[in-house]
Amino acid sequence: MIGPEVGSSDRLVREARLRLRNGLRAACRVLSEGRAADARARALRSGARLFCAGAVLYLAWRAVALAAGLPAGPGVGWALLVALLVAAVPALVRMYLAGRRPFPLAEAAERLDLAAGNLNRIATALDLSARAEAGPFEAAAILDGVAVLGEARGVEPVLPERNPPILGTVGGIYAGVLCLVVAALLAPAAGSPGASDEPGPARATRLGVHPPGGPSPAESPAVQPLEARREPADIDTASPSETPPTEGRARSAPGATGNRVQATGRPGRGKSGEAREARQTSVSRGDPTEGGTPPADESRKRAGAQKKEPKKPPTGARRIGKRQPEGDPLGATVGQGGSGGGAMRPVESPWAQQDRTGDEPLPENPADEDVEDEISEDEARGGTQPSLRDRRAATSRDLSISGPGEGGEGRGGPTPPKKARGTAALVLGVPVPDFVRGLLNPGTTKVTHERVEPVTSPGNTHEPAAAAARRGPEPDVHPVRIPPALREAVRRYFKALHARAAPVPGGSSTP
Amino acid sequence: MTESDPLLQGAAAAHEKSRQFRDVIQRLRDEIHRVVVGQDAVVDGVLAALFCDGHALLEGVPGLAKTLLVHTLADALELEFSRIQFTPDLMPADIVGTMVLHEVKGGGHELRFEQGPLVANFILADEINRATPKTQSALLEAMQERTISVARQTRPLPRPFVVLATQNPIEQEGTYPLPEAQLDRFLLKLLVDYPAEEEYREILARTTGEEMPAARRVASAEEILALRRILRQVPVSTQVETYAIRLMMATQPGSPYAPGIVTEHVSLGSSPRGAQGLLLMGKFHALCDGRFAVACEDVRRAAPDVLRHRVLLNFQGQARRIRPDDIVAAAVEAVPELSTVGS
Repeated sequence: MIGPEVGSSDRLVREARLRLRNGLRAACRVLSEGRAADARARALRSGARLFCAGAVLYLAWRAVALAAGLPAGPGVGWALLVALLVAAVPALVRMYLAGRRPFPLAEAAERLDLAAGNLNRIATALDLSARAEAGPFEAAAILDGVAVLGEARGVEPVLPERNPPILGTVGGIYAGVLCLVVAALLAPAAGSPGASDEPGPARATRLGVHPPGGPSPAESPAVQPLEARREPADIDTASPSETPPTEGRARSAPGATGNRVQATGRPGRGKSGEAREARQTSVSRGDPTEGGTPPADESRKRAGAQKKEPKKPPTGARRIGKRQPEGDPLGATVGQGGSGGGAMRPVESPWAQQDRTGDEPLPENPADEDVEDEISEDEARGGTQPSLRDRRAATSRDLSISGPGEGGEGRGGPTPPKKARGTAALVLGVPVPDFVRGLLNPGTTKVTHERVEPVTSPGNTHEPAAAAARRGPEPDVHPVRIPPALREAVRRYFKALHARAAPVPGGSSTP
Repeated sequence: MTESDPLLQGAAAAHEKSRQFRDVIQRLRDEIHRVVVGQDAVVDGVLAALFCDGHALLEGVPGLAKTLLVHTLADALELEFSRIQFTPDLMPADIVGTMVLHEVKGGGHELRFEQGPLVANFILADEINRATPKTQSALLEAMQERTISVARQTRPLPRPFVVLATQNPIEQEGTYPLPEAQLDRFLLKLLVDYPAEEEYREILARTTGEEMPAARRVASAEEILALRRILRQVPVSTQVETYAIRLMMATQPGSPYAPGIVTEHVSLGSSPRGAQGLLLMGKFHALCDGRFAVACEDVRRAAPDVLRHRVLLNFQGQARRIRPDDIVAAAVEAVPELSTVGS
């Protein structure tokens, strides 16, 4: 480590870091500009979105005011729009300021490395120069980074990926303008000086404007308020004349069958016999264009009832309804589609011939026939063990004599005496395995035995020889562990012992 | 800055160390290539394992000079070499060593440790997957802690200690696949491929002639240890460190950096040893290229060898025949190099 060695090392590292910072300034500027442009674009897109949202809200408010007959002052919508924009100003400003912040130096170095293909040398040098200690390799890497940065002076760093918001901005502005235009078109009705609390349709009628989908004055003999046209009894029993001809829903009179059987049908699309009866009554009652739309709840209830009813047994009325077409061909066509007072002849509908009542049995579809599940045993086993298919329990080899009886399957009581099979069967108690338990797969290996004559292998034989006598000094004998206190006594004892036992050269013994 | 500046002095020292490292590496490469033809990537991988203080697993079909390569490297180094042929009946005591009753002079007996072939510098574990898991597990402590424990005594193994194991990818009958804990201890898994046509000519020329070439000793144990210390001095910047960590995490299903193929087909990703291996191998590549710090490119270059054996495919991945290398490639593709992106 060179850090602790000399104090000037820190200064030099700082100097290198300063050089890196200065060198990276251009890259930072480019990246900051790019980010600022991106922030501006994003702010613009957000503003466009807000403008669009405000316009949509304004349009919605206009529409609601028109429908509900509320007083529609033009200032309310604009106030809403202005409030939205005012609320958006801090967010837009913050977004814009975020783009003005200086770009992080480390990230700029990384992006410059990526653009110049420097193998992260500039970013590494910048990172290592900020560390407390610099070893030899760190010093070399820092100097290397400074040198590489000088070479990469003209290189533009890799800019962050941006999602060009042009489309969103322009789209938002267009959508907002469109909403404002539509709201302006609604404005004369809603914001005119003569606007009052009058309901929308009535006011529209009075002004000569026809509500969309509503009857024109020429078509309707008498335009009445909705509440006036719909009486409580009508709402409850929902006369067929009120159902719109396009939907063709009809309900029979309660007294006709005793049940409240409903029928649905479009012109030329009868659903039941009651529909034909209803059509007969409704034809005289009015113009199909007069038909009011029943409340949504009512429609849902009817739809629910229709879904539940087709399985009921046919009533007398239905039978009559079925028989009626035989005598009256016109009635047949009318009855087929005559629900709800539809003026169009059912035969005009291309679907007329295909309609049927709910009581008629559906033609049998060959595809609907019950087919027994055919699961092959092979499939059930995954087709992997076809040989197991024929594996059955082996015939009993029980040699015991059993009583008379039918069959040998082990059921139904005693079985007849077994036949003797060969000589082995005569030996009682000796099992004769005459079958091999499942050999599913013999395997991929095969063992073959080959008879080969033994051959003497070439090589030198070693004759036995006597081991050589030991040479060299005797190995160390393990020292006997004697306590230090006794060591002198033992030494004297063995000395005396050896002195007595040692042979005297000359034949005389020592005392 | 002047020549006497410590920064420049340090840089000069780094230059010298780097040159020394590359010299030894080049000498070893040349010596190995006197015997082994081609297989440059495998030779570099084995050298990297040696200098990174790791172990390597060589996988290839028979006859591709796996064992010859390891043997040649051992010849080129002045290290104690030991070859263990792994067989199904090999027992842990056969490789680690055991206590043997010895007769002592003067009468009596005593138990002495008779060391096995594992006590050496350079171990060639040939066909390692042919031994039972019990015997394979005997290597765990030796490979990680560089010690062996026998009879309540832990004995250190000599330094450097490198295990180079070989295995055959096709003859799987009668073999025991290495457990995850064992695989994780290998720094690298190197795939040995067939040589090129020109290399075949050279192989035939060298091996069917009168004399077989042999490697000479060009480095010593002390030199290896000194170069290991140099390798560990190579610095790693925060950006590269972050990249290595994210790359390792990208192999783990469920991590924020894992691409779809990992989440779908991997049951177990790399352990932290993977990130360690990435950085060590990155240092090796940086030094070999004459650079003084690790780059993201070094980490990317090391990723297949370091991570392929640490990725465990799930059933779906195996059924679709996804290879671990595909997983590693997807992880490399998914992790951005910029540390600020994706964080």
